[in-house]
Amino acid sequence: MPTIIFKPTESCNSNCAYCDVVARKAPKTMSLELLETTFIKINEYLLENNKEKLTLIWHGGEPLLLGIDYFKTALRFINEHCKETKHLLEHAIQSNLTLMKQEFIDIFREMGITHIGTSFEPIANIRGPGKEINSKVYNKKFFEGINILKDNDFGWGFIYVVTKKALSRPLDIFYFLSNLKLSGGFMMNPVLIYGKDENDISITPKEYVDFIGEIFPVWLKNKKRYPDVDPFKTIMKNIEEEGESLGCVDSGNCAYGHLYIGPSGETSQCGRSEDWGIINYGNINDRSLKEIFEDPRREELLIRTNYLLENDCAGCRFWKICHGGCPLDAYSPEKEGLMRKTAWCDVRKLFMEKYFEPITGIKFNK
Amino acid sequence: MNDIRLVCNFNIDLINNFQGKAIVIKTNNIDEIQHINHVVNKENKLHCIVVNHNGALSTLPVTDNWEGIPIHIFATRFGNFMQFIEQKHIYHKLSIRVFLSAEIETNYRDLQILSSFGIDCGLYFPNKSINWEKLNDLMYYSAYGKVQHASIEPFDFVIKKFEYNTPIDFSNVYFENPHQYLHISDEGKVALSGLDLHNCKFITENINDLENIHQSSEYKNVLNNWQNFFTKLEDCSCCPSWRICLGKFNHISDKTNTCQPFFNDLMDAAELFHENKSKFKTRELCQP
Ligand code: SF4
Ligand code: SF4
Ligand code: SF4
Repeated sequence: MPTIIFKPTESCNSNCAYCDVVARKAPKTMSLELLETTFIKINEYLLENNKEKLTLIWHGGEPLLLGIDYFKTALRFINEHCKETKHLLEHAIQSNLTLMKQEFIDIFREMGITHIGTSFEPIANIRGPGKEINSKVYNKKFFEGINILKDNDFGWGFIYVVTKKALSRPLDIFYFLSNLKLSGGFMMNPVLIYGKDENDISITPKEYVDFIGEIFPVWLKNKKRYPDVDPFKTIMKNIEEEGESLGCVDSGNCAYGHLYIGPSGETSQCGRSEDWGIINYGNINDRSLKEIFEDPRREELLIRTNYLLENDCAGCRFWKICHGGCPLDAYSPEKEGLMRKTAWCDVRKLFMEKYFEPITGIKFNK
Repeated sequence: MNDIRLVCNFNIDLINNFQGKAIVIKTNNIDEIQHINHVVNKENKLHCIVVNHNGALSTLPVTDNWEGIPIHIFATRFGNFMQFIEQKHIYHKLSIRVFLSAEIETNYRDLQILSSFGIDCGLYFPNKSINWEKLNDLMYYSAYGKVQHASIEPFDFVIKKFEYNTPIDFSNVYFENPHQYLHISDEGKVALSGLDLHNCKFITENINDLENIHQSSEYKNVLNNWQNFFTKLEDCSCCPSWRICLGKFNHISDKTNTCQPFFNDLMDAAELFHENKSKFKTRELCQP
């Protein structure tokens, strides 16, 4: 099922230390006219491909900043333009929850959304509004949002971004995140800084591996207590299911599965590729969704996977769970092109060889 | 609100306001026990009678007239062994649980004795002084003791109720968890805990508001109080055993050598029981 990362606004009410959106001087928001066009194009695509389903992830910026009327209008467009196809269109949303209101929940329910993706940061002054990145204000509003979700039986999962400030306390952070949501559902990602590291929070890939490496044995020993924690759960699941449920960066087949649509209608492979300004597919105003999904540049991503299997990654024991990694992590402005393995190769191996294999006793074979 | 149990004094005028409620009655007068049982069960359901016995357990004249009545006795200490032995056979006939104070060192040992006699019992924590080593020994006895013995609270509650995805509030054992128990003054004012009642801190002064208490923002806020721990990355929020303690010993300064290792051990015991649940027989008195 292809996923559309839909960013109708770049505006955000927070000023998180690691976010590139806030660095943009004039954040853009999609016009209602373009929003309507988007759903018309989605409908055209689904009419032609009625065996497929699309997942539309409302992203930002902070999508709740769009306001209730914007979502109501979106719902009207969907009902008007996607009459015969809306059952093939699933919605999801990623929000910081700090602006959550009951009215949003009512609309989201109509859109079929019952679970919201969010993020949380236990360390002060990394997530929050204003110059001083006021995490107190942020957390208060965040919990108010969580309580609204709870009152409405909405589920939630969250992303935690590992920064330099967290490196000395991996277990404290892990217990904190687990306690915050006992049923699990969080993912620990490394911070990715695109420009200048103004807040001094960036970490090296090795630091990230050592951070999660310290947590891994605790998680493994108590998997039932801490069920749904990534990246661990996904790695284990893929060993059990032979690579069936890998995320995009490990699957080697994101080529036809992802699409980004931005506030001006610009499209790209995914949110990250748009952030980096590479693998772009033109504007939704000028092209049909079919054309965008069949853009020849996508084929390059598939060719890359096959190429790596024969070249950079030939004989690698971890191919089944890595597939050469994300093409974006292989890209560097100096050496154009994507035909090489991820720059995270060494640390992927490091995690597997230093932590995963010795701790689990599971040995990967070629 | 039907699932919320009410805790109040034995006050017939007050109780007449309720219908079909599960009620916990607090009394210091043991002569009233049968009468309370009779009166409360007319229109409501007696959940438990709590007797605060400000003295030694051995001096409490228990009687087999209390048979079938759920009773919790809170006594300061165990008292004279021989005096108690004379009454032991009566305890065996009753639906009674005996709580002794965690303040008195000998109580940890005496609870083990009570439990080995087959008398359900427990510790209560009137203040901050806890002997963590003795508490741990008692918990081990309760959880792993090979000889047959009765349950000891709050360990038994945590062990039996443990679920992977849900926090456990062992205040239930003391009828103190506002998710399940509300405390009512003689005038019908509603408090969230015994302490709030004592301090005249009410969430509503009108007994009729009880029916819609779930909608009260003050009530909701209290239920979400746990979130306050998660505004800081320290102590309780990053405690591996948060889910079974919920920060109840937050006032302790040296948590890594006191409450944390104790609750870590208790959680291991709870998890072990959970994994082998089907193999254990359980006996329930009044369900906390
Ligand atoms: S380019 Fe990378 S991040 Fe984007 S969809 Fe593909 S694997 Fe995922
Ligand atoms: S670990 Fe490195 S060599 Fe192995 S598949 Fe991944 S990128 Fe390729
Ligand atoms: S065991 Fe101690 S540190 Fe852990 S939650 Fe309870 S009071 Fe806090």
